[in-house]
Amino acid sequence: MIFGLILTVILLPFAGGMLLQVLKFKEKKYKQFYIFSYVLLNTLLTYVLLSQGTTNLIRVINFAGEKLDFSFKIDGMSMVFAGLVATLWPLATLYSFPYMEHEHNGRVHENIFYMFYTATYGVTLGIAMSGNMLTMYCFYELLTLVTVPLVMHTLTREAVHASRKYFYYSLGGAAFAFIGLIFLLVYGDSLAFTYGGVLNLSQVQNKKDLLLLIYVLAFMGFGVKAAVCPFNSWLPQAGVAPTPVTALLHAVAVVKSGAFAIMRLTYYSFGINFLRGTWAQYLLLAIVIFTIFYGSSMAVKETHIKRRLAYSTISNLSYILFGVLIMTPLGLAGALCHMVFHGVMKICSFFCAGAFITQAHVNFVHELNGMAKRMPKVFAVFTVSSLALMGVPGLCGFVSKWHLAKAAFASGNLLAYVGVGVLLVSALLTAIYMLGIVIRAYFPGNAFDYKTLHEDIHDPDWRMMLPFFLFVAAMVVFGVYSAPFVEFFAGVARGLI
Amino acid sequence: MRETFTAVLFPFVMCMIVGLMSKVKSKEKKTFALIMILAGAWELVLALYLLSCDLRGIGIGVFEVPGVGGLGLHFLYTGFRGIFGVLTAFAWFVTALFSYEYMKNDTNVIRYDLYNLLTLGATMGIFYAADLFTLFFFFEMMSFTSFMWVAHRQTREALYAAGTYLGIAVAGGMAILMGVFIVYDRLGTLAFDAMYGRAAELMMSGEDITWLFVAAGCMFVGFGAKASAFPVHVWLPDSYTEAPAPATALLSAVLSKTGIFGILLITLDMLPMQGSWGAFILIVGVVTMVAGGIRGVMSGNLKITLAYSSMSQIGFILTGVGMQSLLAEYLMAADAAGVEGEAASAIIEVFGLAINGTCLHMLNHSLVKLVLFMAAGVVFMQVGSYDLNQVRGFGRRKPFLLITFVLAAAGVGGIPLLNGYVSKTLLHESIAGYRELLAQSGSSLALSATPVMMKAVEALFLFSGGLTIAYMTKLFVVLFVEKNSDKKVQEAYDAKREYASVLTKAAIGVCALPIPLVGLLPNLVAEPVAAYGLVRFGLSELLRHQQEHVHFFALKNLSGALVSILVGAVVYAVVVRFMMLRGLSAGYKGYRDIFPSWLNMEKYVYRAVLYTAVPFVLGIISRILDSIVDILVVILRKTVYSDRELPYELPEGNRVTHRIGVTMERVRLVYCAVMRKEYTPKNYAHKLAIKEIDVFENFRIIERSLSFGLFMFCVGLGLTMIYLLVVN
Repeated sequence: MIFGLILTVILLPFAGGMLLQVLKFKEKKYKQFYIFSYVLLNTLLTYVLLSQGTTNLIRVINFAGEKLDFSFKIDGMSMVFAGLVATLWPLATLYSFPYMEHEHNGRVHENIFYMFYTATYGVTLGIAMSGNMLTMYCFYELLTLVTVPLVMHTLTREAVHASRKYFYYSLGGAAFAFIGLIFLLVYGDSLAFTYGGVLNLSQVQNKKDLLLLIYVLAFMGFGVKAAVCPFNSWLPQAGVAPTPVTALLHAVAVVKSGAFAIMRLTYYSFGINFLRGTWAQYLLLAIVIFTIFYGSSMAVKETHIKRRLAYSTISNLSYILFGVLIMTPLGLAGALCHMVFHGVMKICSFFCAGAFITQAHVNFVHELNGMAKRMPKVFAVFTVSSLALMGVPGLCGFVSKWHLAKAAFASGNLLAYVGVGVLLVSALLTAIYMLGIVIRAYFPGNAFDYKTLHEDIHDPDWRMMLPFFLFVAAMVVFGVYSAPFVEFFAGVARGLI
Repeated sequence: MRETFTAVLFPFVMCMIVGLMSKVKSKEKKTFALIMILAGAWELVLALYLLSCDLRGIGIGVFEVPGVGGLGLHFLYTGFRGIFGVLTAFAWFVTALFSYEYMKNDTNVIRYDLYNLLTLGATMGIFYAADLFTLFFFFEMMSFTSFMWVAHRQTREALYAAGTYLGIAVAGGMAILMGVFIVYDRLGTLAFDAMYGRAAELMMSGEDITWLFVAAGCMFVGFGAKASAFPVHVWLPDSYTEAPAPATALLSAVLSKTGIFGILLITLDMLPMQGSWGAFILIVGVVTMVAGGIRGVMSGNLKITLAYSSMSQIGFILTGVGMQSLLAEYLMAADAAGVEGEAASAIIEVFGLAINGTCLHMLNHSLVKLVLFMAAGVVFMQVGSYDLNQVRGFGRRKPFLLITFVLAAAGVGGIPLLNGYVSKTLLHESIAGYRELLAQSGSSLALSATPVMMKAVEALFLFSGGLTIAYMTKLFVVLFVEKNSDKKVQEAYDAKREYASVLTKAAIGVCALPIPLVGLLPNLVAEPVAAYGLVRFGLSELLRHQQEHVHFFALKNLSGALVSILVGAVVYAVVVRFMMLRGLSAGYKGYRDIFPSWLNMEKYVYRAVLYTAVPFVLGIISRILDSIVDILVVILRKTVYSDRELPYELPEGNRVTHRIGVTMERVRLVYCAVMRKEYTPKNYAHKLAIKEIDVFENFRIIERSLSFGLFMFCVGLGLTMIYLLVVN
């Protein structure tokens, strides 16, 4: 039963997308209704699945020997990631309808776009529910393949270039991850995700440094999708994709698959007891801390709105990895917390950027002067998400940052202390690059002539506003009352759920 | 008990109501102004009710709002919090009265009102906070909402000032957060009472408390920024000038005190009895006091003078905070050394002076600044400028303005019989008393301060008092004594009888009233208030025995004030009359700002570093890193992975001959060019190709000949012979 359900939620979006190519719709409305309904159905099924989740491994196919099989498992980690993805997908789909109507190429490739867009849903769920490294690796590669057409969607020279880059980076990263997979196969008891790691310590003894090196390689390999410096430059460039893609995939699904894979690698494969206190931890911490600072600094310099947000994502993804690399259950709890909360905050700010593009056709920060008067609701939402990203207490960004910092201090690791400092400097930079936009929009200065703004600019319709409303509500609720979520994350991080 | 929470929540509820009303009702400005007054009044009632509850002995426990922001909000009532809660509500009430006229013609008054209410709620939250998290929560909120005050006018300058204000506020907020993290990690709690216990425990057990100092340092940056302590005061002059007058009054009277409140809490609860921390605050305080004073004297603008006056007075208060910490350390050391009886009670008495002086000066400064900034607002309403040359002579024949202004100016200047004298005397006495104590027995105890240092602090304290008098005299003379250089303007000023409405006058009058009251009856009014306003309850046990009243009007205490007045007179005569008052144009003397503009820290240090130097350096690093992988790919592509050359057959010869031939051809070309000879192509490649064919032909002939075969046979035979000889 559960296996059937898993297969359904992974394949349904594929099937729905395929069918879309065949079916003919009289009106656009019906097509949108059809797409939305199967995405929503998939989300509901996912919820049902997660609610009855099983931590037992479900083996599907055995390739060769004891270890190599294709298997699924639904534990706490899967619930967090799959739950996040399943919640955001219908909202993003809803948002994408009005957005794609504005897109130039929209009409031509729309069906293909939606096919890949929804297919990614299934693949991401596959990553979340994978029961071992091999399964996850397969879905991980598949994710690269199904998302490339989405980046390429506009077919401009820039888009093709960006998608090629994305493709090369991702495949290159996966190759390194593959090395990790092979070593786990040799030195581990099994490939299945087991809290605490699967390394066979009697085999490891003399080869500790080698295995640490392999861990670093695999980390950086998965880290390509999580945009760890210096493998980050694909992410800002991929911003040429339509906003629903940038928002959902490049702020949540794809990049967080990278972070999720790293969590699995660190806590469920190599095991934190093996890694904690080694040079590998320090090296990677240093890289991640640098990425936090680097992403924020670049965001300050960037003037293209979506690219600015992409740099902000780079920085925030490294917050998550920072939590992972603290290598304590508290750290993982903080990382999961930020994974979910950042997902909500960032998708919200990206959607705002998308609204700027569709409603006012602006792409650069300086074009937003005084825009708040024309789009008051969108800017109210954008302000809330900016404050949340900064980590103002009372909104969700603060909660996750608090837990990350708490974990960092509790670990007693000196580099983690530095990390907290950088986290705060980054928050300051976040204030500069996010509030810079907000202030510009609300206070263009007395000399500004509102007549220069086009008359037709106004707030978007309900299909865009509904996701906004829900996201703002989520940011406030998570910020004000986060206890049950945080407890759940803590349970997951201790391996209890 | 949820009264504390009600007092905090009420402004937020009002904000929602006003927000909804502005959507529904027609935007009648007067209605909103009245609502603001009523809101302020009701908040004042709430705060007073809390005070009365406590005075009647009804305990007000900690109130918790669980879960908010992850840790929950906690509210608490103590004497100090009560006094400042009342002061906050009072300040908001009077500024609301004042705004009725001042904001009459403003276009964005509803937005101003909304953010005003939010700031009120946040400020109340700060003063009633029972733990660091709650404090931080409301502190951040206050920073953001008060940003709207500074940006309110939306001019270029206002936005610039607001940018600086927000930048410093956010940076300070982050610094505080870092401190909060460290404290939570080290002490395991954020509640102030528990923090005190844990910190004392840690210190007793002799553990390393360096991290607590780091935390305190971080938090000092944030709280100090709000209080405008020396290196982080840079936002102050611009923001004070750009905000509307009622907002400036609140910034100076209340918001700066929230910073001081934070510093008091970290000093008393987190690093109790740590003299080195006290010495640090003392030094910062003295620098702030002197720098603010000097800058105040030199300024040629009414509001900027008042702004720097604020900074200077904050310096006085910080000095008091530092003294508290130093004296607490002394007390502990003396206790450990076994000092008892008369000597111990002398120390406690001096300690009490510092505590009372700090609290009272905070209160006095708030009242005085409310009056002064509102009076400046009245001037601005009529004149439309704060420039001293413009406002010159405005106050003539305006008795109400004269009386209130003089009371406030002289009050803060420390003239006897007014309130500033009382608090400054207490602070001065505590410094002098501590110096004497140090001289008596300091050498036997390990302490953080030396008598020489205290001597310097005392001298600078009196000097700064003199500076206060000097710049206040400057303002007084400009406004009320001198005549405007333009006779017509002066006539217009003189004719202006209706310069302020009843509400405005009432607002200023109510604030000016306590100034002489405190000053005339220090032992009846000031001392009980100060005794009630202890930050730490534990101290009240200690100070209960200290019954003796301070004799404020004894010669010893008056002499300090006299020194300050003399210094003030000299500074005024030299700096203001002699240096500032210059002939700006023919036959027209006016004031000009003599502070060198290149000493502008905000512009030449903070902005220069943050906007120019750091981005430049980081930009280069970032660009390199951003493209490092791409560069790698390109390099590989151009070298190892370069495309194979398109295959093509040479017409004659092989690769080697072709290359050599072409190279020789080029060498010849260069040779001819250098030697200025005529160049005729010799076609070496072709020649070499022919040679190559020649040579290979010959080889082929030789290879195929019989003699070559015989020759090879002989060579083989010879080698075999040699092998046999060598091996055997």
